[in-house]
Amino acid sequence: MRRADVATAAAVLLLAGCASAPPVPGVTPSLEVEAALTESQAAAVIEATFAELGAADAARNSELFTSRVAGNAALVRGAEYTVARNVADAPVSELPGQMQGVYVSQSATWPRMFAAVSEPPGDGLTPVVYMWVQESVEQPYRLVAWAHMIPGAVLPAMPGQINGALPLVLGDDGVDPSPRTALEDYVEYLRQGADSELASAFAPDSYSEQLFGARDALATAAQGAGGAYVDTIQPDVASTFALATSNGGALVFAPIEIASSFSVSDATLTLSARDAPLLEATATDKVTYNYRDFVVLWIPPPGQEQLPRAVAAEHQLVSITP
Amino acid sequence: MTLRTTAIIAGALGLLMLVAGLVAQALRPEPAVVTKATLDTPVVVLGPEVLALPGLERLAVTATGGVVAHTARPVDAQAWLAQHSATVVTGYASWEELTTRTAARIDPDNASHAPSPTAEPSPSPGSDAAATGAPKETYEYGSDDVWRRNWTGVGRVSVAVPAISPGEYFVANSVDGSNLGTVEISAQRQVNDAWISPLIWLGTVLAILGALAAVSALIDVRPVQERVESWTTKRSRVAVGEQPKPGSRRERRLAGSTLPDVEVDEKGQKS
Repeated sequence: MRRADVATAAAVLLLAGCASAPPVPGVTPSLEVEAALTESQAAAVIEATFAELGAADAARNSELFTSRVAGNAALVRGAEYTVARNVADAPVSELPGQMQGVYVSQSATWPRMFAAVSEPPGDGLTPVVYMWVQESVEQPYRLVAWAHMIPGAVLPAMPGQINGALPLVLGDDGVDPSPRTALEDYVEYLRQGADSELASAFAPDSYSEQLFGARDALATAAQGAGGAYVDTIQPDVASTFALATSNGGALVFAPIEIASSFSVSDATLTLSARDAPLLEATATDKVTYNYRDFVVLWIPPPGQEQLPRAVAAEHQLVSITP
Repeated sequence: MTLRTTAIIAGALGLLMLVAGLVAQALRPEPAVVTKATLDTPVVVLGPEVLALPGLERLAVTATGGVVAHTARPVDAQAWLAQHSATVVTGYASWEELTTRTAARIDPDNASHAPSPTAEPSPSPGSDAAATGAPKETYEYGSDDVWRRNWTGVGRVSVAVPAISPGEYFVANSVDGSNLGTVEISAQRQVNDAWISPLIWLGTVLAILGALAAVSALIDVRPVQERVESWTTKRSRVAVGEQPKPGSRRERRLAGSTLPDVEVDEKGQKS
């Protein structure tokens, strides 16, 4: 080895000590925002949803629901479009796009959801509670349900968008009753009517009262025509979500399917002009009104003497079948 | 060893120090360093533990076409990455090399969408694909809802590391599903170069002293010394040959000191 080589090697070795060694990964820092959606993410989803909804509303065409509106929301809005196209004085319902609150979760699994509460619509109606669901990581959040708040009801305080609300499994016994029990009892209460023993398990709400009132009137009318009126009510448990509230209670977001059959004997049913566009065939002596309702139940935290109650609910007709 | 020899040896050492210092100055590594890795997947990922490394400034990903970069929660990024082949940057092997691992996934949903160099042109003469003969330009990666922040670029996307919130993943992918080119990490590293300047200065001083000593050994300086001594003598208060003043201290000093006469009486003799 020549002297120059030795000198060069020595210089390289000397200079190798000049630069510090590269850093080595250590402790993983914790997240600043634990929620599944940041505020800007949720705002982007909401904006895209109402852009799609606005385009579909303008065209009265549910086929324009391509990425942001799906499920029962698409069915309900599609039914409104059908009626609006055929009935002059039947506009689609107003869905405000300005939100006063967004409830996101900490969910680490799919499907996951977030909800939002709108500003009150201008026509004196109560604010609307929306629910978006993301079925998988590759799917977008889609608006799947909405319901107006029940007059007088107040939504509980929810964790902010930094931490997000803790998602609860339906069988979670940290609240009493559990979300599943509350939903099943409420549906059973809707099935049995105002005289049910379960009526005392829930605070009164206008949604159930209207359902029972319509049932009584239609049952009486059907009986007068020699027929019958039957409500078949089923919760969609697979599409139900529950979030913990700030004070230890829970909000349960529950789609409910209701089929109301009205039959007469020795007569032919005639639907109203508003309902007729939704009839999928010719009505004879029996029709079934198919609803996709959405109910938001509040379960108070343990230790409080309040009753669970529906804080938002909407009875939404999607089709009529013979 | 004379002072001159010592100075010459010190000068030689100083010269070596100066040369070493100048070489070190010339070869000193820059604090700013860009470390690259070549990619052979459509997706590249950096986890939060890598993004938290000190000194990181920018991330850049290159591709032949469009490239997009995102951030996401770890759980969301991992779920998304389970569907796609990706290169995971795990850290530095050295300042010149990144450590990576490849996570290969089979994505049957997108298998038919993968761009092919033999893509057939569209039968429609008006379509862009027919006009350019280019393969399919987009690849179905799924919804963007999982991403917290997004950056897009053509050929290259560069992201400032501080723009990525702590704890989040950084994920970049090509728009058309083709393999990415490179990932680059720009960082500021600590360079221990504080010793170079003192070494150069000290070496310079010693080398100059040594040079002076060496030069002084080669040049006859006796005439100069004589002139200096003459000048020094001339500058003294007493010129050469001048007689001191009688009775002055100089006269006494030149005459030599005298012991004082002291009479000492013998014991027992009293006058």
